[in-house]
Amino acid sequence: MAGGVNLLPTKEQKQVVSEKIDGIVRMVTTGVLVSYIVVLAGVAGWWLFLASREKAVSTEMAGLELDVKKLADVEAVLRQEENRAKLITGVLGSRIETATVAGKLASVPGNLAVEAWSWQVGAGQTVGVVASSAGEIEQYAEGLKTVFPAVEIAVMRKINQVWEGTIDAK
Amino acid sequence: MPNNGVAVRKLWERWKWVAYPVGVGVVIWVSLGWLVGSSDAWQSLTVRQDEVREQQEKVARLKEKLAVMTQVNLGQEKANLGIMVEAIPAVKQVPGLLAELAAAGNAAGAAMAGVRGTAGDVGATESAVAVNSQELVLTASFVVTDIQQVGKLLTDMEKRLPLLRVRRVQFSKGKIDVEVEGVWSPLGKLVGEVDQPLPETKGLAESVKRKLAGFVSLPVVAATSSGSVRENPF
Repeated sequence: MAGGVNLLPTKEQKQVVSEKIDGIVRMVTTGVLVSYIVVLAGVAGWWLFLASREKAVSTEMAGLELDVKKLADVEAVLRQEENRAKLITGVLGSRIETATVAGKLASVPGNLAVEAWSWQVGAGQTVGVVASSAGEIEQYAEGLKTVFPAVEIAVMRKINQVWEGTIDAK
Repeated sequence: MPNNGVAVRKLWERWKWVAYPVGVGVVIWVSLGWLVGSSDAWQSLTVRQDEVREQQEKVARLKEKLAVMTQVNLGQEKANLGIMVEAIPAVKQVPGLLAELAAAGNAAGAAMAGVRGTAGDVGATESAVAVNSQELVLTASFVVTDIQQVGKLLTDMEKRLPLLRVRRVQFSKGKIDVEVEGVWSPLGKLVGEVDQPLPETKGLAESVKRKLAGFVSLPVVAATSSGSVRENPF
C-alpha cells in the first residue's frame, strides 16, 4: 500500500476554497447592499425634489390665480359675449321668417287675392281666397305648389254666387 | 458544558459566511416591506408626483389664460357685448317690444289697433305678470289692406332689434293679429373654474354684426302710445 496517492483534499485546501466562496458571497452581498442604498437614496432624493417642486408650483399657481381673479371682469365680458352670440345665432337660426312666407304668398301667380291667411309656428298655414269659379281656386292652388311643397284644398264652396276656397299649405 | 461551547463555535465557524448576506437580505426585506407595504410611502410618492404634474399643467393653463386676458381690449369687448345685448336684452323689455311693433306698423303703413299680453289685455293687473313672468309674448293687431302690406309689416318687424319671434299670424278682413315673443336672457354668472380656458371670441363680434346687418334698432327704448296701446301690457 505504500506509495499510493491521497486524492482527498487537505484541511488547508478546504480552507482556501471556503475563503474563496466567502469572499465572493461578501462581494456580491456588498454589491447588492450598495445598489439598494443607492436606489433608496435616489427615491429619497426624488421625494425631496417633488416636495420642493410642489411648494414652488403651488406658490406660482396661487400667484397666477390671483392675477386671473384680478382680471375677472375681462373674463366675465368674454363669457357673456360668447353666450350672447350663441343666443343670437340660435334665435336667428331657429325662427321662421314669416315675412318670407308672406312674400311667397304674395308672389303666387294668378289674379286671386289672399283674403285670409293663418299661420302658426310648427302648424303650417291656411290660405283663404275668393273666386268666381272653382277652377280659379284650383288654378290658384296649383300656383301655390310652385312656392310651397305640400298644398291641399281643404274647403271649396259656393256662397251667394261666389266661390270660397280654403287651402292648407306647408 | 465545555463540549457545548466547542460545538457552537464549530457551528459558527462553519456557517458564519451566511450571516452577512442573510443580514443584508433581512434589512432589505424589512425596509422594502415598510416602504411599499405598510407605510404607503411609495403610494404617497406616486400621488405626489401626479399632483405636481397636475399643478404644473394648471400653471401652464393659467399662464396661457393670463396672457390672453392681458391682451384683451376691455372697452372694445364691452362695446361688442353692448351690441349683442341690444339684440337680446338682459331684462324683459315690454315697452321696447311695444315700441318695435308700433314702429314696424308705422313703417309698413299699418295702424296698430291694439296689443294684448298673454295674461290678458294690455294694462292688466300686476298679478297677471306672475302667470307668465318669464315669457314676453304680445299679440298686436294692425289694420292692413292686403297680403303685400302684411309682408311689409312682417319684414319690418323681423328686421328690428331687440330680436323677436313671430309665433302666430292671423290675417282676415283687413286686420292682422300677430303674436310675437320678445327674446331676452339675463346676464347670468358665467365664470367657472379659475383655470377654465377662455372662450374663443376672436371674430365672434364681427360674425354677429354681419348677421345683424340690416337690422334696425330703436334709438330710444320707449313705448309709443297710439290708440289703445298702453306702455305696460302687464
